[in-house]
Amino acid sequence: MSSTPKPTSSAQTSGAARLLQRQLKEMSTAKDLPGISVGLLNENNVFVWEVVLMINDDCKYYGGAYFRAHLTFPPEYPHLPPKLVFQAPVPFHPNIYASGELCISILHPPEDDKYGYETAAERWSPVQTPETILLSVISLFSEPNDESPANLDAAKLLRQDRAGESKEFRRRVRKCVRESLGED
Amino acid sequence: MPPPNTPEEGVVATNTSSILALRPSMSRDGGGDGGGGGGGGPSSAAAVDLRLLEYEDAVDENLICPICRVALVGPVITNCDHVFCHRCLVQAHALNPVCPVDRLPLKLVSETRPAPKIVQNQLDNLNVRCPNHARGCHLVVARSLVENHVTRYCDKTMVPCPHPSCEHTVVRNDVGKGCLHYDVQCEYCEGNMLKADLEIHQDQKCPNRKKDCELCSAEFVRNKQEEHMKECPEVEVSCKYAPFGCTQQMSRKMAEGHGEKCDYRVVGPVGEQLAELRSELTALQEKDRMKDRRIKFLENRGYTLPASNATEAISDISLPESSTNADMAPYESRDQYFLSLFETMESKVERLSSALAEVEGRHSMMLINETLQIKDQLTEIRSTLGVLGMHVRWLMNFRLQERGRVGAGSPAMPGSLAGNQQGTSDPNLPRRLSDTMREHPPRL
Repeated sequence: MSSTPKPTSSAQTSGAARLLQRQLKEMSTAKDLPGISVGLLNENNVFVWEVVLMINDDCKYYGGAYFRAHLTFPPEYPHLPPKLVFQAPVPFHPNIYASGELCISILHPPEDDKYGYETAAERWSPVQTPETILLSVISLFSEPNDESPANLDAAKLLRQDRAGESKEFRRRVRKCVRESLGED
Repeated sequence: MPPPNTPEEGVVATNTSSILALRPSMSRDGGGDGGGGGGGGPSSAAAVDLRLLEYEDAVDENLICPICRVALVGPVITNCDHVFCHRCLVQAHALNPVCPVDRLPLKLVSETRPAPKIVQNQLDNLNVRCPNHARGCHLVVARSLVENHVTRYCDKTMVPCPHPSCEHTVVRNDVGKGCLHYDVQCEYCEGNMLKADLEIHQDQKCPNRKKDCELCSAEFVRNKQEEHMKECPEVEVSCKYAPFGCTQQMSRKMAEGHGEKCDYRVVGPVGEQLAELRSELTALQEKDRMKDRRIKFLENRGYTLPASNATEAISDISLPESSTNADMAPYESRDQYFLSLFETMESKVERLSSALAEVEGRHSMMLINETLQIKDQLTEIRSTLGVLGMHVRWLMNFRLQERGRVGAGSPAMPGSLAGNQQGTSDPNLPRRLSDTMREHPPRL
């Protein structure tokens, strides 16, 4: 007597799709998310989001910037983490690869320990939401983490800047912030 | 896929089976409802996947699974007091054997248990829509009853065809009509389809099935009814100037004529221009916002750099000299540097003047407060002085009279206290005491 109208093969995918659809709607109607705006890159694919992060002016290095990124979710979401890739101009940041991919511990799946130095406590958990991810990303712009650099140059220059030895980091960051605002 | 299984996972049979059922679903995304009610949920052979349901009202945040973010299905609670759907927790645990919320190590079997009955009851009472509402069942029912409704009563549930050799399914409503799974030809479009689908096809899809419009007697394709309504000449429409205030309703073919003599036709072109301007305005506002951000950004930059050598910035004379050192490097040209310097100064002066105004205001306020008090005290003192004067005058009068009387008896000096006291009568005694005290100051 059982009837399942939907093919079970897509059950997981459709579950993730529904979850994402809901979260997208919640986030685009939320009023308490200053500086974050989200939307779909392609109307028909709820698994790829386009994200715009407007960094607060108080932020030390990146204040005023206007960064665009793509947030790509796997079909296994929320059990596996999404991937965040910044679009050109890629921010000059110790935790962002030159390709634009973001390296942040909460987006690393719990099982693959290729980085070796993270404890499981810092990695992905299914209770994370796009909202918590993006808030973490924004805080990463306020406090870049030079412990596990994805961009070695940036990390080195950041340390020099913190030590007061060189202003090169500031200059490079300002340049990419300017670019993100559409200046030449 | 890492299965870091804790040894405990195999202890209870139901849990093992649900894990096994779920693990392939992580890699291939198959078999969804393996562990539907392992944590005490009512359904194990789920005919209705409770997580697909649409809830009638917003669900309380506390009843939502932190993993799948819908109302809990088969809720389990961990020893660290976090509640999840049983299936969600099992899936998450297979990847990482910790509690997803606080990340403490978690043993799936010994450290979780079904959530308390009160949680179950609250979940059971949530109102949901019948999952067949796409097929036309509009029932809203408590969640605990929805499965019963779908499997036994809902007319729109798909059930196996009554014909023994037929493998198709059919809406329960049509079971009595025998097997409908034979090919028929649509009489309008000559397309082939199953008899079971014919009705829906003719109602909604058939490109040839025509229908007469009830209003204008024109013929149109049945599934295009909505489109026809948009152009049917007899349909009641509102005047094209309705946005500007015309309230008249008339058939579409009359609207044309009305438009030419509508009282609001004068306003029309203005309104259109207004709309145009408004859209232009929003575009400009958008641009402006972007510009603002840039300006702000530039201003900030102009400000932060001189501030980094703030000690020098205090004296104006030393500033131009600082332009030669490394700090000016980010500036493309000297002019720009001075411009930014100028801007900084300007903003500083502005800040100072506003601060000055504030201080001034505060001072005058303070002054007024103080002087008011002093004035009050002054008037008080003045009035006491007046009273004192009155007293003195009265007493002096009194004394003079007395002296006149006593003077007749003893013309000797009445000024001494002892003489006074001896000389006067008793009723005056208390007054005289204070009297002497008042008389003293002038003598001193």
